Amino acid sequence: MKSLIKYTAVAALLALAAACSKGGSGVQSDPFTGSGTGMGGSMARFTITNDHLYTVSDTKMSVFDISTASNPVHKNTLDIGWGVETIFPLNDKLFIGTQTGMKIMDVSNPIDPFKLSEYQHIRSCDPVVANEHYAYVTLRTDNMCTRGTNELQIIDIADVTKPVMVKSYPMGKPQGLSLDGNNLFVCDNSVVKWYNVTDPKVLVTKSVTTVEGTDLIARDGILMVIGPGGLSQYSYDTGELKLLSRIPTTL
Amino acid sequence: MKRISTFVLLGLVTIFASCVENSRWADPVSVYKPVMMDRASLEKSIVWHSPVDIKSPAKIYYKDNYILISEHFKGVHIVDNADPKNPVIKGYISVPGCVDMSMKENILYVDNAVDLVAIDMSKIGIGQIEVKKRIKEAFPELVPPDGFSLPHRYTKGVRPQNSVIVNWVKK
Repeated sequence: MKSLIKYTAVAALLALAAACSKGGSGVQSDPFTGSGTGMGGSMARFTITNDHLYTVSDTKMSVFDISTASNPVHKNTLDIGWGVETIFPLNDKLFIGTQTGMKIMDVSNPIDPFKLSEYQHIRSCDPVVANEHYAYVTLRTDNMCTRGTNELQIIDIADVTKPVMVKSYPMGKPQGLSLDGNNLFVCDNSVVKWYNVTDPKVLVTKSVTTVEGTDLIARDGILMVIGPGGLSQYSYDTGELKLLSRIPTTL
Repeated sequence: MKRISTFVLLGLVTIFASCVENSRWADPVSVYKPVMMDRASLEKSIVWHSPVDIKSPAKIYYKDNYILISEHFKGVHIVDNADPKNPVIKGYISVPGCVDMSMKENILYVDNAVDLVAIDMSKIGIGQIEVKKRIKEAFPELVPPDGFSLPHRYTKGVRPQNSVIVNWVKK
């Protein structure tokens, strides 16, 4: 209890300090606020839920305690199957994208994750994002998944122990995807597709924009797309996708 | 009819055989070769630099007003995105063998090849970073990007002692 009070006090002081420094700065923005965590793209192999960092690499998941951020402590390493590619957090669940399907892991005991269910599909490369009701998975053919398929699958996960496919939509060669409310953005070959997913059985295409992306993050009304051409940013809060800026790559 | 099914069977066998040939379990004929670094150098490799151009972006991470972009197997670009219409690359952190990133508070977690490293980012405004912790060999070794397994001559005990694979480049 005492330590809780201490941590709360420290956190409050830090928050105050952050607020002060914000007030004091001019045009230049501050470094990181010193609180919370950020957000990765759907292709991420690292993710954080509360006080734990989870990493995946091919066959293993590792758990690090980061209750003291500067002092990560290795807590566990688990075998979670073959071809593990991505990890996506939602509350006390982790969604693992593998080359053979999507696994849902329970991390209510953070250092001892266990598998709740597995949704299998034919061998493809696939990242996953999810909300409480649905998981969205892109499947693509790749040099490691030459006999795969190219589609977006929407999976009902209301019962996380029994994921059921709702519908699949054909795609060109999809990669990363990001969900913000009812807005779903998908990198597909040389375009980014924006869907309204209010009805998962009838996706509504809001726009198709030419930009070569491998992954993207939609947050705070800003769509950040990363790809071989660099970083492109768009706003989407006005109902249309509007280019804000581009940082190109150089050879 | 029987003949047809024999042909179909033969066809299937051929297809499966080609599958095995293409798989990662086949003899390693990767078009990539590893770049190695000795461990002492690896442990001194994480350094703040002034901005450099983005060449081969791997992953993206977003926190506060910043976007982090990893440069495949090389490092992390730090982009000040307070104004998304005018993002500014503030600097670059060299992290050999890096692909992934995640942050809590002011701490950046990255893979420095097989090591997990925690970097204090609170002073990037003045171009300073500090490695707070390194967990050695937290991750498996980097494998060739085309999915082949590690060639025998590069396995531990065969390659130079204390060397770490930090990149794979085309032969």
